[in-house]
Amino acid sequence: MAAIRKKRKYDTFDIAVNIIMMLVIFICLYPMLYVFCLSLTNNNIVPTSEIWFIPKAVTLDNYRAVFINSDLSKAFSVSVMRTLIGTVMSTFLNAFAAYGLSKKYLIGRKTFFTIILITMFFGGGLIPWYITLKKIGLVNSFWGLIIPNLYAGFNIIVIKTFYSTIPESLEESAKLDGANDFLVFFKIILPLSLPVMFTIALFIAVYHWNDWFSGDLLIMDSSKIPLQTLLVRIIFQSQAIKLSMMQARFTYSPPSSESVKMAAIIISTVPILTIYPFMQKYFVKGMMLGSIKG
Amino acid sequence: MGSKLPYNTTVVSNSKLMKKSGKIKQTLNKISKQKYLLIFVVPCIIWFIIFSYIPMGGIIMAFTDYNLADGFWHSPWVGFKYFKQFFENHFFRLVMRNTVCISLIKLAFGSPMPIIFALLLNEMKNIRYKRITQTISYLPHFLSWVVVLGIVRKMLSIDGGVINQIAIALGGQSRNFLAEPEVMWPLAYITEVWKEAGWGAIIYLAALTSIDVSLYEAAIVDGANRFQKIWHISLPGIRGTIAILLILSVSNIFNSNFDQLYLLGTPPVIDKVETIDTYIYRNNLQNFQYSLGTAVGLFKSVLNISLLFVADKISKSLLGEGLL
Repeated sequence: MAAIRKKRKYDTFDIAVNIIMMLVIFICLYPMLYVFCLSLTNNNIVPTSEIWFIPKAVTLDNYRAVFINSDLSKAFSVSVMRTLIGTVMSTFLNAFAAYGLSKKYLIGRKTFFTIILITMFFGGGLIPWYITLKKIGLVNSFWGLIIPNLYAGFNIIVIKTFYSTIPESLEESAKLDGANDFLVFFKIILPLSLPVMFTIALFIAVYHWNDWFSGDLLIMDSSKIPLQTLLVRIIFQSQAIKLSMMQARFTYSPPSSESVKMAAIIISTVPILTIYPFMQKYFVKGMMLGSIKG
Repeated sequence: MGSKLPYNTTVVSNSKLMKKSGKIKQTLNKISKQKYLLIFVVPCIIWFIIFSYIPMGGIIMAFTDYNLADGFWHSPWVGFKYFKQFFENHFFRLVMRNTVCISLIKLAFGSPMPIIFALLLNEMKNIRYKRITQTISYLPHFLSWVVVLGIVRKMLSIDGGVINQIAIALGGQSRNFLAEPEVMWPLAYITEVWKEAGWGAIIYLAALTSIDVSLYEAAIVDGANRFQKIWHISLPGIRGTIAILLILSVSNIFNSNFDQLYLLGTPPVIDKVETIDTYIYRNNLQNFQYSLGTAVGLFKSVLNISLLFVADKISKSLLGEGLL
């Protein structure tokens, strides 16, 4: 018998699967497309019932309204600051801790490890946590959005697992050349661990960008709340959106507040969607790493 | 014996003391050699002590009449008063029912979804199509629940939302879905699957790629069809992963998707949507009933941990593998 050739024969199963996947793609994307179309339309002019796949009476008024609105732009900048600062700090701090813990000769390593592990399974609950933050003074503070979220056991373990795959010989030869742990970390380990670092950074960034709860729990001043918290108040708690008529020339006036809400939703999604294609590469690799450790 | 000893030292001949000071010196020496590593690690530990362990100590609030002046440690002791209080509270029983039912629905009907999706993805022959589908499928995971439910709210809106438009086109009527209690459980389930199934599938896909290819080839020789291959090779191949994730899900039954359920929790539907977590936030934190809220939270944690051990035991006896 001749060598068995790999036949790429499509049977009915394959056709069914391909159709299902097309449905999956549609179901995943349509809701966002729908809101996108609504955001380009003024609800006062075109009733929502007419919008299915394409916008009608296209206007950028809603987006203009979001940018002029001081509440929304302030909240946007709070979120940006929080995400940038929080992500950079957390990524490095978790990496530092993971590096230290990956060295078997570290003093107290087992104790440190147990301390971290226990917190992954047991906690005090929301109220003791809130009271602790209150006593420390992180309530109603921008840093209250960042500091209580600096470290995460999961992140540390994932990074540490990765570090253990780096051959010790690299580090040893550097040390023979006189490098200390600090230099070894920054010059050798860090450059080699970029995929993991990017993946963890992405997780942390997404967390900070999407988190509305911390803002709701901790912040009293409306000038300090992050974007998602403001969105909750506008969309779900009927907080009014101030639409100043003086400052902008709207195509159709007035912009409907429902439509402006749609624009706000899209704007809050844009940062995630922009990083998405770039991070995609590192992502699945990073996730596989995390799952293998499991 | 020619060494010059500084000052007027007396040579201590007690060997135990020598050993102790030698050991301390050794440790200090070790610490100084590892100082950078310790600089890396110690702040982390301090952070965990402040933000995880001190709150853990705060659990004592569940047993005291906590007030801000007396703090954690000096508030008057009341024993199980608050536990009795919520056991006897009718609304709290609703809250328990909601928590358990919603979690069970998601567990029973939601857990299979990422598995099935991963299995189907794995069967796809066109690699590019497979990758595109997978990438799009986990896009919803990156949206916040605020955004997702904002979209849902619009799609279900009685004022022209897509879903109602379809209903009208089919001859039905426009309904205000978000105000109907019976809609809430299915809605919570559907939106969670939409958002998380694609992401959840990643782990299963990773596990699927580690199955030995020769098993499939042997099956082909034995005349197995697609379904048989999936059922007898793919599924058992990932059963370890399935077991672990199932155990974790079971140990989370008394938890709930706070973001999702809090935002869905409007007065007309609250009886079906309030879970332990949202109850603690809405009723306890916001009403300053700190002790009660802590007691409820502690009760929930204890239940979850017990479930974790039970699920692990069951998994070990049924499948031979577990988490712990």
